[in-house]
Amino acid sequence: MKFGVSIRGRLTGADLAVRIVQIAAALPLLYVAIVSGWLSLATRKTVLSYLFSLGVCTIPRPVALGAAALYRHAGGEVLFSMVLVAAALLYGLWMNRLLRSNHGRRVRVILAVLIGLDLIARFLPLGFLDAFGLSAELPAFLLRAGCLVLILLDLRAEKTAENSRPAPTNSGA
Amino acid sequence: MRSPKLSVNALLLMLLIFGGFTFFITVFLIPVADRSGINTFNPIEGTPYAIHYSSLEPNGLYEGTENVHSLVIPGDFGFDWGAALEGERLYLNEYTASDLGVMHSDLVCVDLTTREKTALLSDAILRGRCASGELVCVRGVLLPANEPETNVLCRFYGLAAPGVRDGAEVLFLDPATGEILYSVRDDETMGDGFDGRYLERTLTEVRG
Repeated sequence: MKFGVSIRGRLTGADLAVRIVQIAAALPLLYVAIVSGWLSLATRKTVLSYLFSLGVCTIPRPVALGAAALYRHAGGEVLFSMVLVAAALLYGLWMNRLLRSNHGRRVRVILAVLIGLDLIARFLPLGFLDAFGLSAELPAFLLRAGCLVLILLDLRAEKTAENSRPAPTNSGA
Repeated sequence: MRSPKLSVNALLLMLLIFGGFTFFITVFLIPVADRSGINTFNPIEGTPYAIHYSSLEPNGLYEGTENVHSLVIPGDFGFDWGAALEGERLYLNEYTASDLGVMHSDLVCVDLTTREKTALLSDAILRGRCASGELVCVRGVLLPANEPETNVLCRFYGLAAPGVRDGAEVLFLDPATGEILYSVRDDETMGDGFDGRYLERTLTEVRG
């Protein structure tokens, strides 16, 4: 099985954004797995619960709402946390392929737009879009905003490099 | 020599396997949140019915005494906050527990003639009757036993529960039909003064 984005390779802003979402999606599973063996942790504020909150706040808000809906209606921490990690895994494999395809630049632009929309949505005065008291909303926002800046910088650098490249000469004529 | 690459995807796959193995032990093999050791028989005041929790029989609503009883309808019903009988309609809290034991309460109505259960309100707790006989119910709250202020799973649950997000609401229901007659916002629904503010007053007084 060939895995996608390598930690050792060169990290672009888009790679970093994808990985951050993947790691964030894994934090709830880590929390649920540990709490399932130590139930008293569930009712306390701990570093683990903060990491859970950070994970939920960092993933795109529609995904977080979908996972919460799954939790509410299916009634299980196991299901939603496993589904979240499985989705993150598929997302990583899929994005790795897309980012390295011929449409890589277009995919980065779309990713930047989606992150931007996700960030703007968090400011909208719509109750269902707020983090409902999850404590890591601000760090998660900064993390996502940082990713967006990195993608935009990459896109600008790419554009500059394209512009500064010498035009092909017709020396064979 | 080629060094093996450890990617985030590989880490996620390992986490999935680790999580699956952990949950198999802690949730399915030896359920840490299991409460089946409880064995109680709790009669509902003024009715021939009782809420029975048992490790030998199915949990549910029973008719009869502790020694001689028959199952009316299975389920994890509540007896501690309130239950009310009106004709052949029995109003109860029904509890559902998540894998990690986070409890949620819904208000249900059991028709004793047909022995059918109907869900009336989700994330709601029946607290009893007010002085004029209407059912008093709190909607948009999570059970205090979950410690929702510090429990991050309750906050997460609230992301997808509009009632919980909007805050607690005290509802007065017509016991004959289950219709909402009056509602009022109150953030102190789980405090000590609830009985004095709602249960010991008539609906007209509360409206007043």
